Amino acid sequence: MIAAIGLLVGVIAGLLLQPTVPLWLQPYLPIAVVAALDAVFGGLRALLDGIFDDRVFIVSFLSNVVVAALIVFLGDHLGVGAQLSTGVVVVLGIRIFSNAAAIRRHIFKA
Amino acid sequence: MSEKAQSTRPLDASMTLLREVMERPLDPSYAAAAAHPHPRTRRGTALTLALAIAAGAAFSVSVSSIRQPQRESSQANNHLRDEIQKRTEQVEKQAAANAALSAAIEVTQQKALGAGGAELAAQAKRLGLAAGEVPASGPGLRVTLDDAPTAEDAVGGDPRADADFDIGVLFDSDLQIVVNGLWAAGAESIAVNGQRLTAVSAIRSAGRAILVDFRALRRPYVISAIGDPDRMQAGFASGAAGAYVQSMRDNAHIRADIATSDKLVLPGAGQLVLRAAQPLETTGTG
Repeated sequence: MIAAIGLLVGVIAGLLLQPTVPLWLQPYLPIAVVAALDAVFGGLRALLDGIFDDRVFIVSFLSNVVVAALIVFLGDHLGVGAQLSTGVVVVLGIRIFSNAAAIRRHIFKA
Repeated sequence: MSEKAQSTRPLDASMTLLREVMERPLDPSYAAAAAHPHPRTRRGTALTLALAIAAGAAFSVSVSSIRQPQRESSQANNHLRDEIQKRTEQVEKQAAANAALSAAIEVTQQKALGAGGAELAAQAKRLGLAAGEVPASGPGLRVTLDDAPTAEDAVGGDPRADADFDIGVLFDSDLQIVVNGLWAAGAESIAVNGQRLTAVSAIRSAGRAILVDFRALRRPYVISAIGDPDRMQAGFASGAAGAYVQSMRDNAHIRADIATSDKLVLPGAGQLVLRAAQPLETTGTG
């Protein structure tokens, strides 16, 4: 639970402070956001499954973001940044949709 | 491959990656953590909280800065637009100041020349009129040219979007032909969109814009020519320029309109400054 509260506090703090992101980080943000969303949906599903764990959530959130950014970085340097980004988005998108479907089953029983 | 191996292997064994993604979307570590719960420590909780806050802040900052580029580009656009407007205003202000100063020069000139210099002043005025320095008025022709109706959308869009030749768009060469046709038909003074043509004027283009004396023109292009209206109209229509305008109208749907006017007022171009040219001494005139 502490992780969810912390995340919420961080989101609000980020919205209020609006710091500028350095330019070299900008290309990695879209994929990092999708990866973070994946972690959030995974955490939500785990919560409904009754196996939520703060530590796992935080570690999966951060590692997702870092790995996603790393893949884009690698792709950019290999000249296939766009294709790799698409691949990451597809895989994470499928995961987000399956997790969302599981959450839906939990909430609506349908 | 033996029969036994085939039976034990699932049919889609080569697609484990996709199956992993489709069937086990939940991070398996949640199940592992639930099976072997860690004892909670105060330090662990604090670290989790700190990391969660950092992750949340990074998330919201990322989301808001992903939306930034568009805002930034439009900001730059606005900035450029402001700059253009400011500079245009400056140019207009300075042109007005220039006109006021020219008028003052004229007055001072007349005062300095005194009563005896009336003839000289009149001569200066005549020369200024011929050179295009002072405003002129008289009867003449007004030729209005505009792009074809279909070309309007393309012009309003991205100037770099289509680099190919546009058939319905006027170019500087079209304006040059029309202006030259008017001179040939006996025009005495010509202005294009209020820009008086002088001996050192040029009609050029930069990108899609047509420039007269480095001032960009806005559609429609109005060419005012002072001269005998009837003679000019006949001369223009029968000349090469008239045929050219007619073909532009027929083939490219360029809008062209030629009207006579009893009184056209053309602005002066202001003081012309010649730095290198000197009058030839042997002619005896000065």
